[in-house]
Amino acid sequence: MKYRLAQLALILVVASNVQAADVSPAFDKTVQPFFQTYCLRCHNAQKQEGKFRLDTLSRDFADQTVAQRWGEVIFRMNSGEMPPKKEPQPKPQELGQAVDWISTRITEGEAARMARRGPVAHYRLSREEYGHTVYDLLGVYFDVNLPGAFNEDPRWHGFDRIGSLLTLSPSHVDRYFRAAETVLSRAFPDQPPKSQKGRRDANTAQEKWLQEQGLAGPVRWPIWPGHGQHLVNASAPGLYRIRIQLSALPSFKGRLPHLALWHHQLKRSVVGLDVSAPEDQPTVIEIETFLPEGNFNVMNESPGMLADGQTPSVTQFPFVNTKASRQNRPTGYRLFNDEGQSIFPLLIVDWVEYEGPIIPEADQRKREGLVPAKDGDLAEARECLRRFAMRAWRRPVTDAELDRYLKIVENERAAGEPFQSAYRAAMVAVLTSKNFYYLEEGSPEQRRATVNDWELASRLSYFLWSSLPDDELFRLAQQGTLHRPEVLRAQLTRMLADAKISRFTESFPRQWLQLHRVGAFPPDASLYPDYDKWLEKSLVLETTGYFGEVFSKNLPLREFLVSDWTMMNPRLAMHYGLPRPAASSLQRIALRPEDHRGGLLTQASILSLTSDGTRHRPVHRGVWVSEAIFGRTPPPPPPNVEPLAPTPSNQPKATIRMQLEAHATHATCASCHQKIDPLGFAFDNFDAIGRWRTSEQVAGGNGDDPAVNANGKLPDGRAYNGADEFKHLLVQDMDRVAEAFIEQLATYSLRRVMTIDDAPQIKAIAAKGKPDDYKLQTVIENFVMSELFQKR
Amino acid sequence: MFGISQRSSAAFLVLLVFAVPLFAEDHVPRSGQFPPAGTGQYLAGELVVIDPVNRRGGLRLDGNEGERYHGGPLHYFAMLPYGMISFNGAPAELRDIPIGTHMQGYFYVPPVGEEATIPPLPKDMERYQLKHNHAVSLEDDFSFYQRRGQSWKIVSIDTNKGKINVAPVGQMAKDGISTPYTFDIDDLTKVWKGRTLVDLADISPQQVVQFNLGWSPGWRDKEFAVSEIWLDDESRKFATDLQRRRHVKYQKQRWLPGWIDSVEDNDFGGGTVTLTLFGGMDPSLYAELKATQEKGFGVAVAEKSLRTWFHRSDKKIGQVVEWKETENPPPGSSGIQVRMKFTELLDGYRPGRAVRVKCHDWLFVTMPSEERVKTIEEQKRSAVLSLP
Repeated sequence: MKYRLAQLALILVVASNVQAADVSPAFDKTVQPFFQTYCLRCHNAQKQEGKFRLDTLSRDFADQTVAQRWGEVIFRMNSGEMPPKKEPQPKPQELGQAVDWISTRITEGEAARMARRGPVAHYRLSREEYGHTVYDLLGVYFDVNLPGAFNEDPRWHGFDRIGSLLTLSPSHVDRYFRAAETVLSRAFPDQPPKSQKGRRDANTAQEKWLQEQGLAGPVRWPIWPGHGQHLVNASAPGLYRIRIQLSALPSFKGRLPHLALWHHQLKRSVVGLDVSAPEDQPTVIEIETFLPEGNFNVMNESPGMLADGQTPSVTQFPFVNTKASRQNRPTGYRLFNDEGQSIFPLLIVDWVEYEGPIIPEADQRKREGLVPAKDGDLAEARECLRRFAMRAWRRPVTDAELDRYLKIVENERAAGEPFQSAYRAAMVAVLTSKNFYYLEEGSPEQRRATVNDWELASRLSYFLWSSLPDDELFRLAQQGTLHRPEVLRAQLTRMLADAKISRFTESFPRQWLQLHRVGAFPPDASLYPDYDKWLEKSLVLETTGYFGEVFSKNLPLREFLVSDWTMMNPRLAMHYGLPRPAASSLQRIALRPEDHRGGLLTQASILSLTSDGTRHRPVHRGVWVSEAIFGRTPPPPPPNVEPLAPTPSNQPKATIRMQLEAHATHATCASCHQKIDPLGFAFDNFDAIGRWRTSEQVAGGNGDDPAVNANGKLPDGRAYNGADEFKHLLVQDMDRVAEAFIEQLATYSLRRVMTIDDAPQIKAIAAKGKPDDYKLQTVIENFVMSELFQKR
Repeated sequence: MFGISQRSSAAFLVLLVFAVPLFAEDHVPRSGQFPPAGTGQYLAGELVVIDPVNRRGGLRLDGNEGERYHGGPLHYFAMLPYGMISFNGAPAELRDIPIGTHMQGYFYVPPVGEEATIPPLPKDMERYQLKHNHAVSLEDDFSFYQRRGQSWKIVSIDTNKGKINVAPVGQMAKDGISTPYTFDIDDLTKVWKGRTLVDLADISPQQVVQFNLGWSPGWRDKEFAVSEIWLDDESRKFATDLQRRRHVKYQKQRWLPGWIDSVEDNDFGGGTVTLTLFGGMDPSLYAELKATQEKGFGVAVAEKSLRTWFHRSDKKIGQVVEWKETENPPPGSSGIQVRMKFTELLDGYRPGRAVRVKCHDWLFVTMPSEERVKTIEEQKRSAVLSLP
């Protein structure tokens, strides 16, 4: 021991020589003895528990990474996690002194850390933001998800708008160029697109056949799952209005048909909704949506038949109604059960009408004054370009900047291009400028600690609308009044009430809760044959719809953990084993305790995104809870960890939990698993796609499937039995949960990872929301009105 | 006996013979149900015409009841889907049986809904109508007697007169001939000993034999000619083995027949199907299926005639969930019931509907055009006997 301490002392001396000098006498008197007594035995040169070595941890608090690591040390000391319970425990006074010292150093280092940040920060728009921005700028719908349109943005714990990750490569520049050309050619086409109308009717020219068959008719198109009828053509991309008269019959088990518009060329559907209408009372569905150019099938996207190419007579029989019309060959698919009911959800279409592209007046207005009316009028061109660049770049544009772009017009003209075409080249240049696809904060000539009004306008609008500021925000930025609390509060209220807020209520929960992982490992079809794409979409819809409901009703953050309601559509209800809701769209329904749901954590989206397609993963579930709810990312597992092996056939069946508990007895695994696993075991009553169960289906092994054990103890010793009790334990930690939520909100809106320097402000925002029970809109307001929101 | 005079008892006997078809147990077959054991009307006659593709044919019935031999029609019949055919002691198809072979079988009235399969006789022949025209079994004499444990001992043979006297030995068959009998024989009779054809001279008294019968000028008096005779065990085994091989090949190409017992649909695709394999196939075929069940079976929809459409394409492949065997299955059944899971189901997977089941390891073969059902019109046409 003596040897080890001597060695440690030597290391500290050496380290202190090479690191930034720390001459604080308190360190030698209070902190170092504390570390020696309680920490260094496990975190020194000989032993680095958790791969962490304290003896060589730098004390250069001006370094952001160092400060972060010390922040982690404080967190573990304060939470009682360190030193471990089995080790000697410090007295509160000793602990307080050590924590104080570290906290003080972190605070002292903040100014130096801020000074180290560049004078200008650049945050590239995510592709989702690009799409919304060009729509709000020019009224052009540009599908950023089209193959080849844009690269997928990298994510940090689900967030795809973190500036430090959104780098720029030559391929981005190339795609921005192509996108700009496309967007501008649609906004200002050489020939305005003609709106076209089309109508297809199943009964057209069927009179003779009906007469021959002795049937009254009319002939209708039956559309079985996995099948579609080519009925819509979009001659140009844009907004289309489509009307479909149809009946929509549920399957014999009550599953509703899922109507979709399926794009031939993209080979994917662009619109989808559950529909229901009796066979003898068809209904007219109206859809208004943006469509890419191409041909569309009206498709039944319910799960069912697979077009395996082996069944020649799929559904090619004239159809009048489900009583008279049957497969004409026994080798066709089985469509009706032995009682004559439709086995599958069935769409029966009478006719389809479509019209488009439609250019709404509001979209047309966005384009006014952006293109010179007269050929050759460079003065007008300058003013038009100024208006365009100002909106696109979200800030005033200097004459010097404009000169460069007008030069493009002149050069193009000199090269023989017509005036409008030359002007278009300048517009393309505006949209391919870094000023457009980067949000810039800061000034090269002036080191600012806060954003200016123009930057604040963009912060607000990209936070809440994922797009550029509107005219009102621009006006206030120009006046220089936006930052005033009363103005900012009024604008926030206006923005929260705007229809574009749905972009926030849809995008933020997707990113915060990492919903992009839903379906990342498609569930094994042999284990989960009932799983389908519409269910997968519905899982996400429940969660984003739930967030939207908490937002619009301004409910407390607590509702993210526990509730007696959720958002449900018929497909989800079937998945959860709940009664089918009245309407076929997403709607709020009441939950009973025996439904075992409520809050976000027991939604099937969350339970499935933490699974791997064949089985649930308690550890992943634990990590997710830790990250999303507590804002803490556990360390990654050590390399070369043996995977869990399937139960041998001569052994009794074992649950994943049993196997994990055996695995976690290894000292190298136990320290982390005992913190993570209890956060995941609470959900063992839910399988890999989030269905309730009381026993765990185990492949291999012998005997019955073992019963689920969803009991556990949190690291602080509080026990729970099942997910409901677990969620209520989390509610007791509401302050911590609220702080973590605000951190997520800040990460999303400030486009950067929160640091130890942001922690006090986050704490303060949370504290402000507590008296109001952490109502969501109040929390957002407190955040927007905080110093943190305007901190650069 | 029982106070009935000899004359009146003779009259009663005549009445009884005529009345058999009317008063026999009229079990009416139904799709999905095998008939009870011991039921069915025994009928025998010479196979005169066949429609081998649709498993139908016409028998010239034994004797001359009601002057049928002189002026009546053939007895047209259809094999029930589970109807079993035997030839030379092995399972067979109608096509395997030479025209002119004397056959014995058990028949039922048409199944419900299939009354039109065998069209009614013309008005002037109506009196000859026998309603039992759906066969559950059809066997040549070799198979019929051997299966029941009955053989024939040569009593004497007179090649000059062309007569052979035989006496039944072993266990007596309930139906057929079970008394000493004299048959025609001549140098057209094929005589088998070991694996070779021998001469009439090789037939000698005391030999225990099996034979097949055919037409004789004395047919109306239930006289028959011996068309083929097997003198020893080796010759019989050889004949059986030849037919068995032919049968196994045939079934491997067309797959084992059975029918659907029940279907449990999933509304998200596929479902679970329970089917029962028909009986009468060579045991090696069932054994092969059983041994390879983990690889799954192909199941093609078949007509009542056991014809398929384009079975190699139209089948769906399912995974076996359960293989169940029952002892003493009813006639027509193998006693093997298989429960299978499919990701897709065909319209023809309906309770009572015939299917053919393919072992994974059997090679896919395309059937010749005339065997396949190709159109709805053809399907309708093939549902009714169409013979001269």
